Amino acid sequence: MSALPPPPPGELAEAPAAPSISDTRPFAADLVSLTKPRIISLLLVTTVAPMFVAGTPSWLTVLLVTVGGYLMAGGANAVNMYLDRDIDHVMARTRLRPIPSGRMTPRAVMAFGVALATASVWLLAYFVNVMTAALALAGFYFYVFIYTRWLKRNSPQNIVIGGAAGAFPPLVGWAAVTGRVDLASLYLFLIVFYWTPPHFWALALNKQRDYGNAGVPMAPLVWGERETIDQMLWYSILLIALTLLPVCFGVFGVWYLASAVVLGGLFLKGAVQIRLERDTGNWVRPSWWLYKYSLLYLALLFLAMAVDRHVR
Amino acid sequence: MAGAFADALFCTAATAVAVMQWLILRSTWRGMHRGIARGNTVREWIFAIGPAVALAVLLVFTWRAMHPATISVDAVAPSGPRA
Repeated sequence: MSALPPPPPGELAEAPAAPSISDTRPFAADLVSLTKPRIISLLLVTTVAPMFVAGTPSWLTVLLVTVGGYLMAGGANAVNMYLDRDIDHVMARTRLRPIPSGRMTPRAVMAFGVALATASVWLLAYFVNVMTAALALAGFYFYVFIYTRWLKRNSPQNIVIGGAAGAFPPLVGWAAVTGRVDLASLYLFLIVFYWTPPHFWALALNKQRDYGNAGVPMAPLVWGERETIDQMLWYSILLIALTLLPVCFGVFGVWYLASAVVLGGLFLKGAVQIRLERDTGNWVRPSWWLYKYSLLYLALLFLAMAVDRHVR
Repeated sequence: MAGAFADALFCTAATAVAVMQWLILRSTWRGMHRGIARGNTVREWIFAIGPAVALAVLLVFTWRAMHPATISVDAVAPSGPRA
C-alpha cells in the first residue's frame, strides 16, 4: 500500500495530543475497557434477538450465550488492542487505551484476551452446544486474523470483508437454539455484513486524519470521499432490500415488514443527505447522524425480528 | 405471506440488490482507478465480487425456499401388491 495522502482541509479538527492519564484508575476498569463493552452491547443484541427468532430458548440458555458471547467478543477486542498497540498511540480516539497509556503491558493484554476467548469456548461448548462454540470461535479468528492482522492495514475494503467478523453473532445465537445454520440465519448474517460499510464509513469520513496518521487505508483516504459516499448510498439501499427478503419465505410477518420499512427509510434518508452534500463538503453533520442512527437501527431491527416472531 | 405479494416483494428486492451490487462494483472500479492510492487490484476485485456472488447464490436458495418442488407421491410410490 502506498503512502496515504494528508487528510483533506475540511476535516474535523482533532484535540491536541495531551492524554490526561489517571494513575489511580482501577485495574478492573482497565480490564473492562479492554473488552470494549459499549460495542459488545450491540453485538449482544444481534446475538440474543435471533435466539428468539429461532425458537423459544430458556432463560438459562440466553444467559449462557450472553456471557459466552461477551467473553468471546471481549477477548477478540483485547487481542485487537494487543495487535494494534503500535498505532493506537497515534489515533486520538485510542491513545488512552491501557497499552498506549502504559497502564498495562502488551503481554498481559494478550493473555487476558486469550483467556477470555478460551473461557467462552469452554462455556459455550460445554453448556450450550459445539456448533455455537465453533461459530463464536470462527468470529474471533476472523476478527483477529482476517480483519485486524491482514485487512485493516492493507485494503480500503477492510471493513467490507472485515464486516463478516461482526456478522457472526446472529449465527451464534441461532445455532444456540437450533444447533445449525440455515437460510434465515444467513440472512441475519448478511444484514449485519451489509450494514457495516455505511455505518463504518460514516465514522471514517470524520476520522480521516486519525486513520491517515495511523496508516490505515480507509476508503475515504484511498478511493476518495466521492466514491465512498456513493458506495454508502448503494450499500444502504442494498441493506434495506436485504432486510425485506426474509419476509418472502415466511420467516417474518407484517409487523417486522413495517418496522424494516420505517427503520430503513430513516437509514436511507441519512445516506441520501450525505450524498446530497457530497460535492459541497457539508457532510460532517449528516454523516455523524447516520453513524449514530445506524447503531440504533441495527438494535431496533433485530428487536423487531424477535417481537414479530412472538406477536404473530 | 400471500404468494403473489411474496413474489412481488422478492422481485423488487432482488432487483434492487442486483442494481446496487452492480453500482458498488462500478464504484469500486472507479475508486481503484481514480483513487489517490492504489493497492492490490486483483485482491480488491475478489473482495468486491465475492459478496456479490454469495448474494446471488442466496437469492437462488431463497426463490427455491419460496417455491419448493412438489413431487407426486403416485409417481414414486410403488403401485400394486408386492410379490
